[in-house]
Amino acid sequence: MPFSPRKTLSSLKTSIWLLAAMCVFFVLGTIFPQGSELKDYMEAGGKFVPLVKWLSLLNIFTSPLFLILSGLLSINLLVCIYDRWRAMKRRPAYIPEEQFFLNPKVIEMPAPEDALLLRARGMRFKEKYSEGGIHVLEKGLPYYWLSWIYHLGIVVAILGFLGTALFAFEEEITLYKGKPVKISLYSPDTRWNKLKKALDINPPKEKKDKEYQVSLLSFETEYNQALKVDYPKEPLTRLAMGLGFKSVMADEKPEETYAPRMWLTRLSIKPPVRKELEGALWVNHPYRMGALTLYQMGFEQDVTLLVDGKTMKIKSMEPFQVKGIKGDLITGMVKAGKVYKKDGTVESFTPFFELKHTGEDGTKKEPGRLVQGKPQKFLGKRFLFKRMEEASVLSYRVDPGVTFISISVWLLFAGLLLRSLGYWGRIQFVSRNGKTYALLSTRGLLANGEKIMARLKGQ
Amino acid sequence: MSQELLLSRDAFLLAQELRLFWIVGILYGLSFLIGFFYLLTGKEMLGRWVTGGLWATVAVHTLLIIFRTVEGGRPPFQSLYETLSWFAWSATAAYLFVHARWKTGIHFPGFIVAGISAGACFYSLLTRSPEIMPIPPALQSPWYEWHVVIAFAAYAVFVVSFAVEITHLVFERRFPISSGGRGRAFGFPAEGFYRYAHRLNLIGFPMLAFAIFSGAAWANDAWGRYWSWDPKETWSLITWTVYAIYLHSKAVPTWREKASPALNILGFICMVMTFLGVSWLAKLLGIPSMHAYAV
Repeated sequence: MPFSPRKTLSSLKTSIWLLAAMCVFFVLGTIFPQGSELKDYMEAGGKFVPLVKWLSLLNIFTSPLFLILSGLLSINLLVCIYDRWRAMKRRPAYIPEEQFFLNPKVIEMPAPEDALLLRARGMRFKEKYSEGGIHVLEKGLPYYWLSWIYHLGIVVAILGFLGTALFAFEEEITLYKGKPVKISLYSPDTRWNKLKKALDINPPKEKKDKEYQVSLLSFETEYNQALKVDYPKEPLTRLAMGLGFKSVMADEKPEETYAPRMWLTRLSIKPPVRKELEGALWVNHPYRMGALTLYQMGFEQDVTLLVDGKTMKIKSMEPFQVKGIKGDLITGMVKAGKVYKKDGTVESFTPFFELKHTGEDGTKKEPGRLVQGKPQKFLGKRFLFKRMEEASVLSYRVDPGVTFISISVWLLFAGLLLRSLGYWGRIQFVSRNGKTYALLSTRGLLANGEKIMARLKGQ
Repeated sequence: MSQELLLSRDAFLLAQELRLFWIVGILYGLSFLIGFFYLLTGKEMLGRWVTGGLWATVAVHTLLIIFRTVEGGRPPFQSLYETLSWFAWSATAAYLFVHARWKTGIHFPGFIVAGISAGACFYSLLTRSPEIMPIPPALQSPWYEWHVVIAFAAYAVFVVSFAVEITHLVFERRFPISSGGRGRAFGFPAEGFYRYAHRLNLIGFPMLAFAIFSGAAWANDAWGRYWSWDPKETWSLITWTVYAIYLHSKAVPTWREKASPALNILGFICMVMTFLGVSWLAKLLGIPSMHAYAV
């Protein structure tokens, strides 16, 4: 048979092979560290460097090969959808008589045509499909339309991904008290604007009318007191504990069990046209104002220490050095704010953190805990945790693709669910020589062909 | 009550819960062992014991899950210790539901499900920490329960489908009914099993789709980014794609017989990768994952 690009593109086998190829890319994307630099990859002892470079394996989801493959899959999907649309439009009214009687599932009915049509009440009589002793009846949502709808949903999703890839941008801001930050809902760095710039078509400019000013009013942290137990790691001891030979003990230092409960940012925003407004946001609860949405991403802690009387400014959870101490020091997260205790009480506590030391030979030590205002002697030095300033790290994102993705999700999910779990049945009767024959087709998990047949047979 | 007393009470409750969990694991293991003898002898009575054993185990396991929920004051699927237990329970419950609904009279898939559930329980008991931690800020979302429950319901359905597919393959090759031997003793309906696996995947596939959509909607609420190519996200997409290929392969006549069962098994392997393997991979290769709290 001569090669037909159109037929190849719309074939089911092409879809399967393209999906399989996509899977290979997905897997590679979870093996190679995405977004890292080739230099860092090589320094970390990464293997297959020429291949990694050639196939852009460190940025596989924006690599030319992946984009070509995605493009081919989209074309395949579009051609399939178009072909299905045409096929459904000119769908045969009923199975022609000669083909009908060749089907092994055709059965002779024990009742005349009129009685069968009466028993089939509740099913849609497809008048335009019925002629000359042939009757077609249907029930439920047509599976072929549902299947078409969820494939259309995938096309809309691809449009959304394209919208995201071209127009979306994301920025992060670190908000300190008394230091407002200006943010803009316009970015010259989107792929679309970069493309316009490269082609010198209407090059992007800063747009002052899209600027907001954000100020931090407060950043609060809350903790829950949790149960930390003395639980062994050895399997046999665990088995002994499970069988009751050893008991589970609660950890004796309850303050070590403070688990984060909430990071809350209160802020004020001055939009381009309206007056200043105040709001609050926390993880999973973004703050929305018109086209702007702010998300709680994290926090930064600037710690002021006195080491042997000398002031040091450090960031929590980042290594630092102290003269006279070999190796690196690092603080744990500074815990500050309120704790919700197991007995139902809520307490404010003095900020504290754990100090950790890594020697030059890599040996790790935990010299101890530093509580704000209480001097401590560690590693031969006198440490004092003087104060801490917390900043809230927020992000904002503009992504026109989300609207398309939301529509696609509904199309896809509703189509898939109704197609798989729904109910569709079609029966065709053909009356010849005083006898009536029937052919039943069903789709969907709730479709019960036996039940329909039993009813038609009058059982 | 003083702090110390409250903590001791919680430690005592945790000890009781651990004991119950060990009993559940051992019961799953026993069902698996009985299933092994059932496979060797083909005695119908042993098969019924496997199913009966699983009913008893799932009843005790339900109590354990209620206990943990009350103890923690939150849904019991936050840490890997908890999700492994939840996975074992939902897989077994899904199998028993399917077994009762479809009245196949075949107990062999129960042997496989019992093995998987026992494995999940012992992996949890021997390697994870049972501490009950409060819900961290990242998980405090209305999507949390929906996302996890539906994802695990999909996993459970895929486990049953895998068990049914293995039954189909093993019996078709080792004990063909035409031989009149052990295959007849098991009453093996190859055609039926082949259809059951397909129908189960038809249920699991939209569920997995919902799990992915709800995860994306949740990520959009939490970080403003619905997709980040996080290893867990990517593996869930791989699993979904493999099952999509499986469902499409059913429409290709030359692939229906051999490729489809292989794809169903591959789908199951991908599902295990999504649930567990991706965390191992992330640890092994040092790739950061936003789903690190599930480790």
